[in-house]
Amino acid sequence: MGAKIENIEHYLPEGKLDSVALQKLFPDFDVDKIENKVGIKSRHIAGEEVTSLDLAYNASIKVLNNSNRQKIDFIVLCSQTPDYLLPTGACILQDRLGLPTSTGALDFNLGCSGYVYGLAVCKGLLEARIATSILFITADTYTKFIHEKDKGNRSIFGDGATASIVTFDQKDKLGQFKLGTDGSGFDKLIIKNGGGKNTFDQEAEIKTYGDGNQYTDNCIYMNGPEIFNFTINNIPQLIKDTLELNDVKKEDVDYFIFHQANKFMLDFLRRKTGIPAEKFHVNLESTGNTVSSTIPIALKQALENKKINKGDKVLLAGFGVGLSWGATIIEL
Amino acid sequence: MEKKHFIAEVKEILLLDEQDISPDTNIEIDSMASLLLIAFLDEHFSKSISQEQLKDLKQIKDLINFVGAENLK
Repeated sequence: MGAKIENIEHYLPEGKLDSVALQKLFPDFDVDKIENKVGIKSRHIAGEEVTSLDLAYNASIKVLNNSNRQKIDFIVLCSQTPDYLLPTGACILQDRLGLPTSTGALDFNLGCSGYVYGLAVCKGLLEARIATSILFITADTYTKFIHEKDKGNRSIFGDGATASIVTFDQKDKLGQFKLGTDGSGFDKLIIKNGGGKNTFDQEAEIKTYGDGNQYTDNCIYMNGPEIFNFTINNIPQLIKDTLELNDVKKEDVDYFIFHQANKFMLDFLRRKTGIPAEKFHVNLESTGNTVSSTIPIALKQALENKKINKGDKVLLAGFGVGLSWGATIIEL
Repeated sequence: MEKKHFIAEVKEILLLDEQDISPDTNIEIDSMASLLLIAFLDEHFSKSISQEQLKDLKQIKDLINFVGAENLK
């Protein structure tokens, strides 16, 4: 008794911010370094009128067109940039997608670890027979919350959404999950204002960090070096624990997909965990860091490029804002 | 690690133009250099450096003291 990913699609908004445009905005910025070290040449940007729920809707339509939509009885939506504080985005999606009112729906708030956590939630719902076929969506528009003069974050993050159909299966194709949290690092990646604790401040003070990046507490702040420290101190152990938990040897994993944060960090983690380059996914050139969507986008790319085939064992690992991390081994 | 290799790596990470690097050579660490330095220190010295410690690195000698002069041949 178990669960499997039946289908994955993604949707990226039409707007783009490429290296040429970035250079025009920040003439002193070394965009070659961003292309070569960070591995990003272009990012998709949602237009002013386009929201994360619009991206979620478009990704959902794509996947439902290739799936048995009659069977969907649950929607799980992962987003940190929801259209509203309330109500739940997944409830609005049920109506917009024309799914029956018997559909269960919930949102959860996680970032880069969100896809792995979402799979864990789906597996629980399916194995407990609470649901039989789940529309699991990741959708974020981080770029709406980045200060226009924050060149660091503008060069890294892109908007996007993915939709996966996760169904009950006789064989357990979603393996055991290793999850973790360190809330003491909550302020390493944060939007301080606009929630219940601090209201949005029209006159928020402009602050600087890193190489002259500007932001206010209404915007996303990321402490890059500390996030990097967190990953190198925790992710190698996460991979080791996940292999042990699933009783799988590293050599027997066909492909590894880590959260696509930046190329330099991925290359470093790959060397530190001893994974051969040909089994390790690095592709964020045209999307940037799309937060909870990077892993499913990578899964789709790897399937299309035949890097992974039916029956392959794939290790997924997500880590970031929270601080939060999770990994599992799936079979496709 | 041999000291000359250490200096060569640091020169590349921090994009130092000076031909003669001395302990008193001033250094500036930008965002990308921070990441490269964190990775370098972890990989070669198994040392973790916080952002606060990075801010305190003003000259080459601060970096040598951080890794420990005894670890450089």
